[in-house]
Amino acid sequence: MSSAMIALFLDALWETLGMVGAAGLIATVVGLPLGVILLTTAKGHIFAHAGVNRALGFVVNATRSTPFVILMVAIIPFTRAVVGTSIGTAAAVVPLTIAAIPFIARLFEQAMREIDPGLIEALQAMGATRLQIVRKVLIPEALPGLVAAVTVTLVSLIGYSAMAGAIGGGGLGDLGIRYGYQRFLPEVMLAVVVVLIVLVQFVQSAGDALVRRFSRK
Amino acid sequence: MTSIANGAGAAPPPMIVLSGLSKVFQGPNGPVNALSDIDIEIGRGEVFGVIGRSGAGKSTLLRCLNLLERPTMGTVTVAGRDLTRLDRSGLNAARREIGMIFQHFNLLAGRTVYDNVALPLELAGADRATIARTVPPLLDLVGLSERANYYPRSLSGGQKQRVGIARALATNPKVLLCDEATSALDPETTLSILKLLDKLKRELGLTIVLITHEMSVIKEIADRVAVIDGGRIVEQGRVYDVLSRPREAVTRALVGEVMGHLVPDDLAERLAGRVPGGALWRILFIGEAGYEPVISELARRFDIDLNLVHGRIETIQGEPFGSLVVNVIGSEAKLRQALGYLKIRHLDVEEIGHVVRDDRAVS
Repeated sequence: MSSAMIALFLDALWETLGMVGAAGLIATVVGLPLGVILLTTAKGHIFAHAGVNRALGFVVNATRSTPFVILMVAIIPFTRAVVGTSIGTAAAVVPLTIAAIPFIARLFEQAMREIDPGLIEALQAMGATRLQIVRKVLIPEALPGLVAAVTVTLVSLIGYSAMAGAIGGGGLGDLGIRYGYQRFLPEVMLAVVVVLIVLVQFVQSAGDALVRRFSRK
Repeated sequence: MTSIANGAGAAPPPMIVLSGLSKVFQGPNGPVNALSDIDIEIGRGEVFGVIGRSGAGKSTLLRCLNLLERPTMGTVTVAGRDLTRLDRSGLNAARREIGMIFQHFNLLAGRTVYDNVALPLELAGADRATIARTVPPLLDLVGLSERANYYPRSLSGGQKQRVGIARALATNPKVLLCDEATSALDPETTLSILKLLDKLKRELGLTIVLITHEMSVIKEIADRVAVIDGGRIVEQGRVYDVLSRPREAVTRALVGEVMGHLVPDDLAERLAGRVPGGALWRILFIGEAGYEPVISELARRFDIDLNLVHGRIETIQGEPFGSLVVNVIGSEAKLRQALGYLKIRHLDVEEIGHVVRDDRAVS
């Protein structure tokens, strides 16, 4: 492989990491409160509110059931409004984030649902406010599960980012399509796949190690 | 009811008053009365036990004491304050004066022993210095100073419950609620936890309310007991009185488990219908009567034969209590005389078997 090709690879890798990192970070920050709301507004929970729970649940399900390729195209006007363009790495971050938020919010909700209701009851008996229950029990006790949720989301984002590449988003997917497919360079295609596999393995291993580190069960 | 009053002086106001308490749950098949018309007063420094089968409503009752369950009707007064009238923040403040421990301990797995005990203080807004001052003596009190930096997963059940107790005491409560606190522990550990609770009652003047399905726990530690069945208090009184003279069927069954003064099932079966002659009596020796030589006296005075079937002597809170099942053989008239004598001596006698002899006329 030529040095020019290697430079292209490195650029593409950086773009992928940038897209996945930015979308993952924003999705985590936005998804955590959404996950908390999904969980705690459910019937019998600390912020029980049927209306909010149903509305949010509907939006999350609707977003999750829209295929990513369609979502990407459908929100082009919104993407343009946010980043000024619908092409390129920055533009790809918008649909990636929109897709990742409901995904990770559900995973967060599930992780926090695993917590023994007895712990919430114990805090209520101590006179904890509802926000204290979220801060002192729901989030810290679910930490291993939350980290696992972030890992799963990042892995999914790596796959989605390759798809975003196909419509001009840059990154490894873009490289694979343009060189591997359109210029008939199967070795580039193969290299892209190998790099993606290694990347996913790395993210998964790092995530698993963090889960083990936080796990006190 | 002022049975906790000492002597003739005015009783101090009770620590906990439940008045006309009812709880209705909306079940799938219509409303379910989980608690009906509960009236209980619990004195300061008293250990009050509530016993019942699972589903009897004891857990709901305990949760009404700190309003984890809000009663449908009635009031819950703790330390002179009606909890049902408090707003959310008032209730949170009141709950800091009511500690609670649980069957499954409910410790936070992600926090060390020290941080678990510090948690109620954090919630109350205590600063680091206050926490550092408060937590170590509590760990010392429950005998876990060495384990301050351990995580709950590396503790035994008994140690976990000790952490639970230290945590419950962190905000210096007046009342401790125990929700089946020893039900997940082996008998030996159970005893050590009960001893610790007894120590807290004596040293801190803590008022303790415990629910359990085990009469042995009540017998070991409680001053008074309420028996709950189908959401109602069916019997209530001093532990000695309830254990020695259970009135209701459910109480008898619960008492029988620990006291064994009911005839064991297999024995009862063997005796049923074929008492060799005379009658089967259960004689209860309550209090000082427990030391008296009644059997030999009966045989001498009334010329009857007594055949010991089953007997047991217990100590409940330092007072002796015995029960004896005897097969008494003699003429109808003599048995009546003997029965009369026992009653004069203030012994409780109960005829639990029947006379099958048909030669009644013989004297």
